[in-house]
Amino acid sequence: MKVVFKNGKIVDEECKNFDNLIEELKASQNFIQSLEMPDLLKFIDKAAKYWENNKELEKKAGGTLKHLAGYMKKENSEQMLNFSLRGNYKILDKFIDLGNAKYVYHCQPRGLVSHWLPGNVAFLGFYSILQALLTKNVSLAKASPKAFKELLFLLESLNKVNTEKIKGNELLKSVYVVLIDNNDKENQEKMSQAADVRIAWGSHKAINAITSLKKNIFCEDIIFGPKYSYGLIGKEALENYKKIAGKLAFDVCTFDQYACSSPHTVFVQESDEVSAEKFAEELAKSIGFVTKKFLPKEDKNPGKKVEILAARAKGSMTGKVFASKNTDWTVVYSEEKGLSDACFSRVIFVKPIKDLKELGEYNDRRKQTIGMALECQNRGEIVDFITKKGVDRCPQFGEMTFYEIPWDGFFALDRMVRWVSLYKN
Amino acid sequence: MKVDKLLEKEPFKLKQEEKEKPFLEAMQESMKWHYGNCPEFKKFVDSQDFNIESTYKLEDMPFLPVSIFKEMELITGPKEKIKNTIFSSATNSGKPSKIALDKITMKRQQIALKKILSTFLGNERRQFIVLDTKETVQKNGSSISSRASAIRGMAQFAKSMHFVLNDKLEFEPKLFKQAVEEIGKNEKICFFGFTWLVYKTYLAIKENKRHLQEFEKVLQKLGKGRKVLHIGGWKKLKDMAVEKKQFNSKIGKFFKAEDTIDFYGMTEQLGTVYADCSQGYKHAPLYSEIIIRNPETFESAGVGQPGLIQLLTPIPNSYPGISILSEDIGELLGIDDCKCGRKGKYFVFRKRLEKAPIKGCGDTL
Repeated sequence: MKVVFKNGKIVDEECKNFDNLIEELKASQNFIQSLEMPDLLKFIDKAAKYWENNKELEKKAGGTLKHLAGYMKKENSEQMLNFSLRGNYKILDKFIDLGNAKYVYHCQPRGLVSHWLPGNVAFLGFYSILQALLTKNVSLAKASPKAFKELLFLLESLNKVNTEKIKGNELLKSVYVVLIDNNDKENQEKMSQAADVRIAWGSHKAINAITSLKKNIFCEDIIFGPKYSYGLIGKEALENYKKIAGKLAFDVCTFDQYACSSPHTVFVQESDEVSAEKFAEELAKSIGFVTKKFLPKEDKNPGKKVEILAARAKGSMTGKVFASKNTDWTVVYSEEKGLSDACFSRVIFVKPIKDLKELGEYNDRRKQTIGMALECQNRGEIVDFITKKGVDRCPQFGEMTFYEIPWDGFFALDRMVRWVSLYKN
Repeated sequence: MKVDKLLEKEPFKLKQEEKEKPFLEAMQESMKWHYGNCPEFKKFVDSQDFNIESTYKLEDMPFLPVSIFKEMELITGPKEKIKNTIFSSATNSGKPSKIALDKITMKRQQIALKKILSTFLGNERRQFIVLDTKETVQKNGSSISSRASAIRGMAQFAKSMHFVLNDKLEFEPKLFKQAVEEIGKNEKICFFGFTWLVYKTYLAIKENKRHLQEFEKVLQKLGKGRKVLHIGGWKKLKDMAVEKKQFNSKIGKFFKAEDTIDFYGMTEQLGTVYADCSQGYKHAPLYSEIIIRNPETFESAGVGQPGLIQLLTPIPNSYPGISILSEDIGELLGIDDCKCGRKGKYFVFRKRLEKAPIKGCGDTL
């Protein structure tokens, strides 16, 4: 087991005494809990501005940094907290009257948040830690050995951010990042038992392994993933099919489709003018453009390339394939019913659909996001019907992978605090 | 058909230069057959912007990723002509490949296998001690497992076959003893089995003192001309944490064999197997060819550059598996100059291509 981030510094240390490390981290709770929310938000806002103008960091972190910076802006953080905490984020600082006749309320941080971060998107780790910070919790994060360097760069960069009330290096004492072998059950169990909140990102196997670790009975579990996402375009929206294709292309290219919110299939309710095949062709052009101009492909795994060739071969036999000359991106037009198995790595299936309510059959708790362009009059009724068994988000195209609140059907920030009531005088 | 002409010739006598023309012509003929008689294959070839009427080299031929046979049941020609369907073991994906065989394909496969293996085993039939259970080869309708198919393929080299595992795939001393008594001392022996099963059996016998003593005692009653042939299943063997060199040495000593020969082959192209020569290399026979492809660009790679193994053969008549990109990494070591005397390309199998991990919170279906 290794410690890779501690006291605001990137380190590479064998961890000899994990219990001590956890105690050190817990000791920093006093500092973070003493901060006033407006000061904390000001600091995070300043960090966002610092990142926005940091070319060097952008090179290391890629296009996602802009989204992350936007997410951390004061207005967004405030809105997110307000939305999650019954309308007033200052409830994290003091008792607030929320309109209840008898009580005022105050949110206390739960304490230590243990994060099991995903191996696909290093930035998700930062979102996870940021939410713990915003609720004045300290973080112990187990990063994936496949995706942790970017996270450490981002964290370390906060050393250079200082406000009148908060110094970056002080605040960073409340975040430790470790690498623990997946087979090292002993240390993972320590991490689990120390947690007041466990946040688990990852595959089915990873989540099962994490949730089977012993924990404190009052520990709150926040589970993200594994999920499948897809898209839906109603015929009324097809007038703007080129615009939709452009936006969807970003959803496909961001994170190389490895996020739970990335689309793998898109259903098109055909109009007289635009067929699903025509849309597929347009989408291919857009993905090619986005790949070339904005988001170059990052996934270079040879095994995945062979899988892509196989998906293309099958696609060519059962439908039509629009693809780059190399394995960068692939659009498969297919009339096969149902959702297509995710290939990831910028492979998307476009299918015609007649009855939108058919989608209800495909949804369960493993489906997360349906990117949508739906302009029919009864859209509320349709979405109500198809989301009965699953699907938690229906954003517009271009915003499928934007991390937002609620996520996976719940308010994570709310679950990182304890609600305390005080009778009114 | 040109492929049948090829099959009349010896597998390793022609130099690469002499092989190229007749092999390419047989492949071109086969390509036309499948293009005209398998609609899915035609669509695939068309999607590759490949003109079958053009002048092309072997390297230019489109290749099907091997996993397509797990996804689709591809048949060339009339369905009624299919006599058997072979299912692979589904080790990696959980889905087996389904290969539809007609009489023509099976006959060609048999000829190829016989010609190739005769150069390793000689023409004299041997007594086969099969490290498997009899149940494996029992037919279930027209479906056959790849293990059964491999064992059946060996029948043409065997005077008789003796199965020494029980239906739980465990070593059965009684069956072994019975086999050895039936065989006698003056016979040439071939121990044969799937690689992982051979190793599993070896470990099980080693770990059981009583079985080990009995095995060694009975083994002495066999003649000396022994070979061990094993095929397939390196993935499972990797899970058992054993490397090929180590495997060959352990198994060779254990069975007191003069040779331990590893075969490389696949359900999707039965018949053309690639056995280790005396130098430890695998040779492409006249009836098939290998191209090593760079796993990044899929361009053809030269001698000494590891890459994905593409296998080409005009043998399949009833399914379009004539040009397949495997998920195995190999390396071309040379052409025509192997010390074993076989001509043509020779190569080594390095490892299975690592499957891309499912990363993070994204889910398949």
